[in-house]
Amino acid sequence: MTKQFATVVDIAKDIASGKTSAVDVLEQHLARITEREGEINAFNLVTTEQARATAQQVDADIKAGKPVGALAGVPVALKDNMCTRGIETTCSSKILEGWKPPYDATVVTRLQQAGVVMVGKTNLDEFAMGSSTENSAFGPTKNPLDTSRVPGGSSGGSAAAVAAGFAAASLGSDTGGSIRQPASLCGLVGVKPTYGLVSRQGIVAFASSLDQVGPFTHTVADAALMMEVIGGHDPLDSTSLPQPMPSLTSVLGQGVKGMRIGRLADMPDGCEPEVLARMDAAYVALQAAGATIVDISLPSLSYCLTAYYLVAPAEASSNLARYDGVRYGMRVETGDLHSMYGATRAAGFGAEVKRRIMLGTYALSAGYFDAYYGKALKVRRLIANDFAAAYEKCDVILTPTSPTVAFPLGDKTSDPLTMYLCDIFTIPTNLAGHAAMSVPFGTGAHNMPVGVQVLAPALGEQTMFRVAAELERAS
Amino acid sequence: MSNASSAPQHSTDLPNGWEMVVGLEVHVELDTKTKLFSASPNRFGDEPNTNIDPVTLGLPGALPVLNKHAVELAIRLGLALNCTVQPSTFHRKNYFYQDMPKAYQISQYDQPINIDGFMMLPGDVRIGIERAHLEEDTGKSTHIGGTSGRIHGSDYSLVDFNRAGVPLVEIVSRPDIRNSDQARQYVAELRSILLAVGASDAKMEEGSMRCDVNVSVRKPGAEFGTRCEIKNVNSIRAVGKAIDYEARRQIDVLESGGTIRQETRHWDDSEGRTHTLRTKEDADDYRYFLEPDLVLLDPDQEWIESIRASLPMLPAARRAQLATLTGANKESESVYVIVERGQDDYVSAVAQAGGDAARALVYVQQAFAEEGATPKVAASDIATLTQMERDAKITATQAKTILSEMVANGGGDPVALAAAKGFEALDTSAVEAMVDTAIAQQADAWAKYCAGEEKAMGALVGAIMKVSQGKADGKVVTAILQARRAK
Amino acid sequence: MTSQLSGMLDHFADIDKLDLSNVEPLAQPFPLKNVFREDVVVAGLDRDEVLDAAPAAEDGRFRVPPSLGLGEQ
Repeated sequence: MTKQFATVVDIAKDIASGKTSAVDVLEQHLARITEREGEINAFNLVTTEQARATAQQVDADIKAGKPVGALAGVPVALKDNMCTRGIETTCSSKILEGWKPPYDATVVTRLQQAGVVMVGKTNLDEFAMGSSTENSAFGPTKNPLDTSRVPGGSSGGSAAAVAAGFAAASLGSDTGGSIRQPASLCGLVGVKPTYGLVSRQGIVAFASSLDQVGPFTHTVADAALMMEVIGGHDPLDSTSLPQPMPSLTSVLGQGVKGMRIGRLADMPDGCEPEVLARMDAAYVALQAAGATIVDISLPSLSYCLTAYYLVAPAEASSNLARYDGVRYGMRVETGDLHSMYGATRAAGFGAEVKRRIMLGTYALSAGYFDAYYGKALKVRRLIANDFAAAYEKCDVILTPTSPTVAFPLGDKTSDPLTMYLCDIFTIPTNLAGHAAMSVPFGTGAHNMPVGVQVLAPALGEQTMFRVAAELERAS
Repeated sequence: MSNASSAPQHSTDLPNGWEMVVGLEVHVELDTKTKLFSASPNRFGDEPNTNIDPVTLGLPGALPVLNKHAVELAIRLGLALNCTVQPSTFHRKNYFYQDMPKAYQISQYDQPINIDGFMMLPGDVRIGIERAHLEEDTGKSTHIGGTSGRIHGSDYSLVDFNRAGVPLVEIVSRPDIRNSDQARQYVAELRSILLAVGASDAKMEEGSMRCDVNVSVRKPGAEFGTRCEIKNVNSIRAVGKAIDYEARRQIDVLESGGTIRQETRHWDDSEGRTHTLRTKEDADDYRYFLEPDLVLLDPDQEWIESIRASLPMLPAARRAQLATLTGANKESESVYVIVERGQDDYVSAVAQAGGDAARALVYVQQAFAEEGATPKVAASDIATLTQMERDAKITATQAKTILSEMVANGGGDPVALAAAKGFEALDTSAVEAMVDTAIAQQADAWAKYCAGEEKAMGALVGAIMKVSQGKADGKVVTAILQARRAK
Repeated sequence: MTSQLSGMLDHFADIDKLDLSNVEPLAQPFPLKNVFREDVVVAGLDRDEVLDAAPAAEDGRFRVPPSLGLGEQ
């Protein structure tokens, strides 16, 4: 479906070989932005001039025979919760409107060193809280495949940018599914790495023990390449894993013969029948490639939503307390400090953010801590134990990424709980800190894409990518 | 027992048998080059907001990384306070204030790095130390407008984040202190220990050591009373004054039938009183939870033991050693002063060179106040001087004069100096003759002295000293007079 | 979807009923420990750049309205 656009691998190869120029590639992408960005609203900011300057520099370097990075000239978009020095970073919130970070996130630096051409900062649910990008303070992003529908969230802008051909790849962040679910809804590959594999330095924190950064791409090979560039230990992030970044591009052809694929014995309700049908097809395809299907269960799965909606808002309530109008961002001036805090945050934050901050504050407060946050952390232990037991019996687990295909704008905005249910399959991985990715696997209702989620244990990226590559071959 | 670092003050007893119960929370800034969680300089006195970085300012996306040297200093000070060093975690303490850049402070909560220590005070008094944990410092606010430079009535505030993120250790004593002398000794000794192990320069006047005092009162044997926390106690002297004031304030309240409200009070040094800052009801719920951006701190035994082995001799041990060497009491003021100045090694060197250690202690205390830990005067020359006095070749007064000159000149040969000044001590029989002459010539004074008027001795001694041109040793004169009177 | 919804609401209450007394909390996914930084100065941010981005600044410092009564910790 989205195979119409050039891949990262091909663009990088063609530019490096001189077959095309970085400037030409960029202009193609900019032309698509000009044509459709008005209706899609994937970007908070298109960085046209900087992109052109970077592309020109790449071409000059190649012409001069200088060494260039592995992604030289590849147009890439970044979710607008990643700090980019001197370039506005808003988290799609009024409270950070106009703020320009004085430093770059580590993943941004790594991409720059690899030679990417950044085309812009993409729209998101405000502070990454949401599953549809309808919580943005700057208007929703539309699904490029059907603009009456959401692209998913919270990284909807990054997904839409790649799906619409505005960028060859993009980065998103995933706390409860915010890369994988939009990938599924837009027909893309989306990866949430093992917690700690990709640096969080310079990523505006939502829930610190759950957040991870990962790529949106058209192909599994592109995702592997992006992961190799951004992943690996960062001394500026204390939760960064010390182990070396595993090679992913080299394992993609190894197939799945002899692998055990876990299938959830007790599936939650609420999946569209077409989604379930695609899942069945995925199992068949993997079996045909030599894998065996094993029934597993995750008994604590049904408690994960509750645990997540206590742990994440609790951490978020603390992470977002710094937006107080003192040092940067929006300030509503009043006569005294505390009313300034209140007025600034009331005006600066949207409804969903306020809701989660209140919920999180409550979950941590004296007298309620044990019953709410404390208990949620114990449920987190239970799901980690469940996964450990399951991974004794299988190598990866397959689930739908999302219970549904992309839904219409406005469909789930009246009741937050319906929106929260979008993440039923993605949340458990964040709680456990494991790896998971979504691979496009056909279409469902309304001809909209369906994604299959491959889950792997911590640092199981190589196994996960092998399965993903097999699914891609079969899709 | 008074401490050596401030004017001696004996706390007076509380009325009606009341007893005060005091605990101290002391925050010390660690002497590291960089901050606790980021690599900006840890320096006092720089231009505002010149030691800043994303972590210091709480910028979106900034992450903390723990300073290894700060951990080492925290372990040093914990071991010096006889604490157990254990695996520890960091927690977020959440509250809003303009000098809190993240709106939370990273501190240690239920698993701190150092626990269960103690410090000994004079008189074998043991003060327990509950914990000594790591945390980050806040920025600094200046309140503009208003009358007193304090926050109430100010027009606005200006915030400097240079200090934000500086490593602190908070040392919490158990409520074992029972009078203001002990409190001042505790703080002074803590300071000495911190300087000895190199953990902090502990200057209260620069804020690198800050004391909060918790005071309650009770009748002995009764349950602990409600306590009040006192802040803004900015010197060792103020520690004593604030405690004595607050104990009396609480007694007055209780004796007139009132109850003590648990609250935080502010010490006003110029007015010599405390007043309410905030009550317990106003206190924040800090919503402590484990800091997700940091990982377990678990120093291994090998590291801890190597730190322990590298600790210098602590002040208490040095005082004991000096006392043994000189025969002085280990709790005497001279021993405290010499060790605090770091001059005990020097006294030891004088003894090693054959000098009289007890006299050396006195000389160094009297004349070496400005000399620091490495006096310029050669220890062997001081040794010679002590021998001259001990052997009665010169009087004590003459020795003092030569000593001052040696110190002023950064050295000197005491024998030559004595000769140049014509100093010699008269032998005892010559002194006896002078005493008898004075008794004969000052019959009135002698009569009064024999009748018990000690002051009358002054006239006799004065006359003898004049006649001898200072060569009679005052002590010898006094001894002879006393002996004559006794006959 | 509706049955899932009511199921979720039930679970909010069901967490109360779970006996988790023998379960250790899991606050961070992996048991990392002893991650340190050497005590070496690294150049920080430029004051002017930072204060230009501040809502209000004066005299090299961030300016805020007065705090009434609360504050000094």
